[in-house]
Amino acid sequence: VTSPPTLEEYRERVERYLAVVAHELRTPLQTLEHFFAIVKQRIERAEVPSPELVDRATAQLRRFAKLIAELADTSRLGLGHALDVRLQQMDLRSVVESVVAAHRETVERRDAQRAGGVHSLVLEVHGDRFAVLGDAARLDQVVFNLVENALKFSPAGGEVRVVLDHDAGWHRISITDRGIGIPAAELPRIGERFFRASNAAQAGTGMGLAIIQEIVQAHGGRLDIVSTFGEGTTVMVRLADGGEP
Amino acid sequence: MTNLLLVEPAPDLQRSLVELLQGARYGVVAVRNGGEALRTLGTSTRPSVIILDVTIPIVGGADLAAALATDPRLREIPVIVLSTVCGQHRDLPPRTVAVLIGRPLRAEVLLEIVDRVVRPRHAAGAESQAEAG
Repeated sequence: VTSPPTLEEYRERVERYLAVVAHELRTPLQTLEHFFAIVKQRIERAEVPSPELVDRATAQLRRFAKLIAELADTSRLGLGHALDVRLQQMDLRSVVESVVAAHRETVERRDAQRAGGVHSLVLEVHGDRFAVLGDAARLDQVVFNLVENALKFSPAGGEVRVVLDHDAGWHRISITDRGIGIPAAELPRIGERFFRASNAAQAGTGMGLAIIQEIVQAHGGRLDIVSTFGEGTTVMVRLADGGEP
Repeated sequence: MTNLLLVEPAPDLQRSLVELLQGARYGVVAVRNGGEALRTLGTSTRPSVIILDVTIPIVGGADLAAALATDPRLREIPVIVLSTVCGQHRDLPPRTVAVLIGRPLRAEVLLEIVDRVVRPRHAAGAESQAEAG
């Protein structure tokens, strides 16, 4: 059993969080500033900006919007409010498929620029009915962030496997990477607000999993994490069946 | 063409800065950290200016500053430092000509500073200023 963070630890985490958020917000903003300057340069030369350039700028805007949404969720949780989750009958499979497709597109565009190769993102679906009572936007957020984490913490060219199946009456999404893993002693704390594993070298706010956990709980579901330090992590989300779609 | 060396660790930012500077008719070699910068400086043409983002602690940044200070071949290269924090940089490279603070930093400001630093070196060759538009 882990003890809750002391007030001092918590204060340090919040301060680090604010610094990270400020930094994370600045980067897409700066890139967008460059984007408009580049577009202006091209217009002045009577050139047409490429759709690819516009796509990249749009991706930066989404990154910005995502951070703002996370900030709003963080604030709600800090004030002790529940997150805004509206349940209705929906198909989990389409959420998982669209998230994987979105990540594939990003990965192909981004990793092509990097040494080490392109991440391989594999989707397996076993079974054919995935009706849940859920909030599609929130579940999209859950799966998106989990896949993003898996990609972020696994080496370039590594494999991330997303499996959608059924397990003992639950619908189950499992996301497995062969990345850095989480130290065993820190595993129980990983869902705490602002907590970051000691081996996490990449930038991050430490709020992603805390919010995911809240969303899954608001759906009456379960979040489980299995991880081996240095070998990889599997995160599983289980959601109850939502009846006929 | 005037060549610049850009040291920028954030991939998205690096790419947009390269396009911005190329759009202003500069030749740009981009690297992610001080170590890569040193390797590049050892092998390719000497850049007219180095643009160095120190927002994220740079691997080998201290080595880069030391090499720039001691190597007579590199000592005279002007350096433009990009940062988001004021007054935190005690170990600035010796030929730092500007520390541009803030993000978002206006693209025009960066281009103007680069232009100003580069121009005197080309003044002797009567380089036209018409390109700036």
